[in-house]
Amino acid sequence: MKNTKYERIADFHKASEDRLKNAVIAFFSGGFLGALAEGMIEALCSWFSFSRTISSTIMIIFFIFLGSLCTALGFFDKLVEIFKCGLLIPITGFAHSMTSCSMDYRKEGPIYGIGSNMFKLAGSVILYGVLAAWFFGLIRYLLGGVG
Amino acid sequence: MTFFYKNVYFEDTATIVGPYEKKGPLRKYFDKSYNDFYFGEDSFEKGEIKLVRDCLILILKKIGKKKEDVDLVLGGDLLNQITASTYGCYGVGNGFIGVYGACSSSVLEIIIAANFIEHQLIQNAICLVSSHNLTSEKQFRYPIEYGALRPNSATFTATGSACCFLSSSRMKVRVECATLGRIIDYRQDNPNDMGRVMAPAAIDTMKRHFQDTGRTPNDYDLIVTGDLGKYGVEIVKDYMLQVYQIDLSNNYHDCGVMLYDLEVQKEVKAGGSGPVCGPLVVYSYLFDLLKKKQYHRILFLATGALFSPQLIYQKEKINSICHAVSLEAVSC
Repeated sequence: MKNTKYERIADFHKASEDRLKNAVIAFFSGGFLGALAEGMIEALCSWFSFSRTISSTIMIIFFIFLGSLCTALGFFDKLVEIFKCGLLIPITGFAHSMTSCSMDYRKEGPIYGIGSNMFKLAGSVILYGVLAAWFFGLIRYLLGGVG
Repeated sequence: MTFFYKNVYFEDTATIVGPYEKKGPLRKYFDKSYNDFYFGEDSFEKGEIKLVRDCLILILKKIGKKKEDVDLVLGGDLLNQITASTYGCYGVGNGFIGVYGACSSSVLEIIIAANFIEHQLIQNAICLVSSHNLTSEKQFRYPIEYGALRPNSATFTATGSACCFLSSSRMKVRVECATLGRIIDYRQDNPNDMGRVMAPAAIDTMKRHFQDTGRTPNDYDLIVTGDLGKYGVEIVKDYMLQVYQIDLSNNYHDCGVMLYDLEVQKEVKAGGSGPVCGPLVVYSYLFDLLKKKQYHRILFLATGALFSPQLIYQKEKINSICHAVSLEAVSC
């Protein structure tokens, strides 16, 4: 049973969160990161005459590397404090989750530590990402969208 | 359940802190501090064990006793299987009791040791607690380097180790009485708002303490809770006043709020937490004030949240507990 009197008093003293401000910061920081990535693809396409697919792959590898490097050097979490979820939603956040898990368990060795804990946070993203891709692929197939 | 003691004294205390606590307002009261989280070891878990060892060495040096002169050592921490205490306390004392009461371990240890001493089963005991911000992050929350955004109600696990040496020989500060807490379930489920989770336990134990002893808040110079944080404090004050008509506005504080400068150290959010949070304040700053007789009697309520991340994911609620001890300045 919930104590309603307690809930009322506790709700009155609840910490306030500035969700709107966080969302706006995340919108702009995430958007900026996306624009930067798009700029990089365009630059690779025009300077080196790569195809768009190749350029996208290089861009993704670059941002994964950047996210992991910043995590390893210990300041990605501080950047997230400033730029909020704008850094966690793009691929940098994915890289960050894997690197931070690996770093946590490096002392337990390559098998019981890094190997078994690396996907602690990213595992869900991969599993449900693959499932979602399969599901939407199926819908597309049923609608006759696959050529 | 309240116990009264006649022959249990606080002989001395030792406190060691990490980098964040060192920057807090109570810095000059701590015995030793470190600038990083490794404490000279190669992992954070080993660092916490080092903290425990350091603290034991320090207290033995302060009271001038050898490892084998200590009758009983009680240790508690947040690591799985309380390993910081069991590894760190190796080789000290003639008996060891591992205690787990989450963040309430410190007072629980004092109660156990005081009952042994009062009934003359032992002469002295060391009650030690430790916690480490990063080992707790890893165990209870997200990976250390992971930038999970914490809400404003979240508390920050204090890093450090604190112990007190209790004995039956007359000293300046004595353990006057203690109230053992019971497990409280107010159907709380937010691990990011521990103040709200643990406040009911503090309220329950405080009320029962006043009932058992027939005292009022005015009988104490200061009443401190362990780690409710700035929002939990307000809940306790308001609830005690509205429901039990007990006014705490004059002399009630929280160690989690006292340990850090909340205006400057923004990263601690609502305040400190962890088993060591309360003792870091009580065994250093408040013990000092009691020794100098600036305070005559204080009530220390250590609050603990009893949960595991697994049970939270299994949609269980978080229980809480709180134990209280009254410390009194005496002339020796």
